[in-house]
Amino acid sequence: MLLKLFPSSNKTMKIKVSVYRYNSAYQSRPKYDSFTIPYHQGMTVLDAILFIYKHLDSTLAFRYECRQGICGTCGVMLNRKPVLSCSTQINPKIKKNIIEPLANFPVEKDLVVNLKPLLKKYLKIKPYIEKIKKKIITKDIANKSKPYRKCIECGCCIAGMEITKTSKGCLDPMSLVKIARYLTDPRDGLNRKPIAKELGVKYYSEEIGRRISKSCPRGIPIDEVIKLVK
Amino acid sequence: MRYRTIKTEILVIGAGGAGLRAAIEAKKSGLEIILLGKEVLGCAHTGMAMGGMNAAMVLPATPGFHAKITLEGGYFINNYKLVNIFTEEIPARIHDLENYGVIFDRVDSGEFYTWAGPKQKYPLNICVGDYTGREMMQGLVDQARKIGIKYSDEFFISRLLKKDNCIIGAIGINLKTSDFVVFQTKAIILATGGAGRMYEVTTNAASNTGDGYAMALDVGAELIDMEMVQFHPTGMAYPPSSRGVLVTEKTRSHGGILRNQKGERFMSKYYPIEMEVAKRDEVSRSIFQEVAAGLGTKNHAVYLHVNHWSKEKILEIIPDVYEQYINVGVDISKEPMEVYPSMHHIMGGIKINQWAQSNIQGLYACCEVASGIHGANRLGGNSIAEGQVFGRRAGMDATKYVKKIKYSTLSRENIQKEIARINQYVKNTKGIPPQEIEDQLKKVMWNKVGIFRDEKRLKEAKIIVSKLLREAKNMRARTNIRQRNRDLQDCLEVNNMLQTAQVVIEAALLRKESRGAHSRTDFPEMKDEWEKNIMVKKEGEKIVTKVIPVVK
Repeated sequence: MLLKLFPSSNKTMKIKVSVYRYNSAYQSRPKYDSFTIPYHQGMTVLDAILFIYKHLDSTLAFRYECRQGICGTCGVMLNRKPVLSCSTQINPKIKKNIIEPLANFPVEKDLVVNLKPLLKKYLKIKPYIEKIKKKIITKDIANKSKPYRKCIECGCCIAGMEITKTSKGCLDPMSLVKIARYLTDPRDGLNRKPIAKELGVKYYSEEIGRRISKSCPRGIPIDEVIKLVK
Repeated sequence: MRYRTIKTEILVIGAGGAGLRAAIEAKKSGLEIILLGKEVLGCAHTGMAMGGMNAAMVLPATPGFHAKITLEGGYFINNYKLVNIFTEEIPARIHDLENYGVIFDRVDSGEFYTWAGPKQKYPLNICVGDYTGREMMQGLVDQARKIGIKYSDEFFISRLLKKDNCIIGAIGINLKTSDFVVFQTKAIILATGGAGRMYEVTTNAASNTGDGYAMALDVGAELIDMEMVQFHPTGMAYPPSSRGVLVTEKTRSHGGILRNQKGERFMSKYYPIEMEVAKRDEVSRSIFQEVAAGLGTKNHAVYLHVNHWSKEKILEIIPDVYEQYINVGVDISKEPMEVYPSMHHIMGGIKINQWAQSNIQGLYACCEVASGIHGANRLGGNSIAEGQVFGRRAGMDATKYVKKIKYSTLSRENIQKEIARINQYVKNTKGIPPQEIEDQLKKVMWNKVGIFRDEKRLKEAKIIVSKLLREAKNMRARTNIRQRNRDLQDCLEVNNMLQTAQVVIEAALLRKESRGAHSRTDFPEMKDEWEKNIMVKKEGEKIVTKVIPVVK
């Protein structure tokens, strides 16, 4: 059976993973379940999750769609770092890999986070092109906003930031990226810097940005974003 | 069993490119509309489109040229009328997308950057890097947020409700809570995409389970060209977790080279003129034959080289492909990729007219769930484009239609019947879990209804799928948890995949020739008398087929 699923695993090396469990409907006490699963070379976090769901626990809640690292729905914490589960490999040398829902989000169930509060906040920055001006777009102009247009709204940046007392409730990095995306688009007619200011961009330094960038699976330079938005 | 009823003039099912475009258009009328998607808004399969989309934006390409190669590419069983509308209107839809925020790649002068896919003597493909679909989705989602489209994501519609020949509603469950919701509506726009998940190896997202085909068949809609299943020549072959993941055609069109295990540029044997940029069906067959002849790699694949390009070129042209392979430990600037065909697209679907209407009043369909644009083989770049044109048309016509009619009363009996069907999966204590049926279906479709087909294997597939359909009646969700019961969702989806598989096989058995994506080893020639469409529909449980003339 296992060989059929993972044809490359001739030797059935086993690994241990610990998975966060919670059900907001019952406000159950959060806990971690341990699973021992067969490892195969190149195994991703999503492979591990799917194996557990298919063979060990059918109640496990998680999201995935594309397996291509592009839809942005499968973000989780792997050993306390935000990753896209479909494009991140499990390290078999770690004694126990820990899989948790994205940090800094309310958890709905297990690995599924509730995105509603984030999206509600997101609307405040008007995450769309406004007061469109007609402009010819050249390659240079298109390339200015291109790095920020790569955002897939996966939430990894939010999960990867340290939230302190001063930063609590202020603008999140995903919103900052969107603001940068429209600041670098000459067609956008909205004055976006005051919005960012009002929502607390001052909390961010380029140094913080550099740290958050490490969580972005799309490699968006968040320090550049902060420089731009400030 | 309790349920909530929601009244809405128009219900759009499916929140990919076409569904979003339809909703944006319908919203302009000021009518009450609701958009539903199975996945989180923005995460639909459209976003996985990589290389680009076709539109005559830069001369010498013209809509006429675009139409001509679409028909040639489709081996002349496309709906000519739809093709002409599509190619005429797509340039304006590209400008719409840019007004929603999208910026397609440019050259220095400000003109669109274009590249030539298969058959494109004049380049038609415009793109955003190799993540065109994702940027397009972002633009559409931004616009939907801007104009305040009401949506519910992670929602599953399981059945359409009709009275006489008219759509009157739909029923489904909220995937977060398993709560039942009934929609009383005057029109439904189906934009549910394809059914890739019924194949073992596919480029498709997990949500592509043929829901639209199954639900449309259930209400008596006519489908055509269901035998036409496209295999993209280059899916990732290794490692297992990435099997099938798309490697864009843009790679080959920019000079990517296919080689077999011996290092031979084998396309010269099959298509010496077109080489790597032959049509998708042609390249897929070539790779299949090469590997079948024992000339593949140990991972049952062929090599795709870009390691003769500069790293700058790789990062500019195909940054996501580079990333995809880096994630699995392969640096494509130094070593070749291993690729093998992967099920990619269903050319067939609900038969529509120029306003995306099906034969059921008030039921509209657009993009992959519909049919007619691509005939027997789809050209790369035509799918996400098609959804923009016909999504808009569906939205426009539906708003006109709903103003003319009244809501109908829904039959409680039909609603309770559907609720009972769904609850049964959770109540069943014996029976098979959905994953077991799904695994068997995937194998049958991949092995017997794949790139090459013949009567014997198709008949075997038919028997197995019928058996699976019987077993599926007793499928069992392994848990009765109400919050995020993925097993229950799987039960519903497996059923839809089986319904879809059944009509694919039926049509494939009937078409006794080889044309485009449908290659019969027992009928290897393309025949003039088969320049026809095969229509399938259901009468009760029975599948009825009919050969009908192509709309010219």
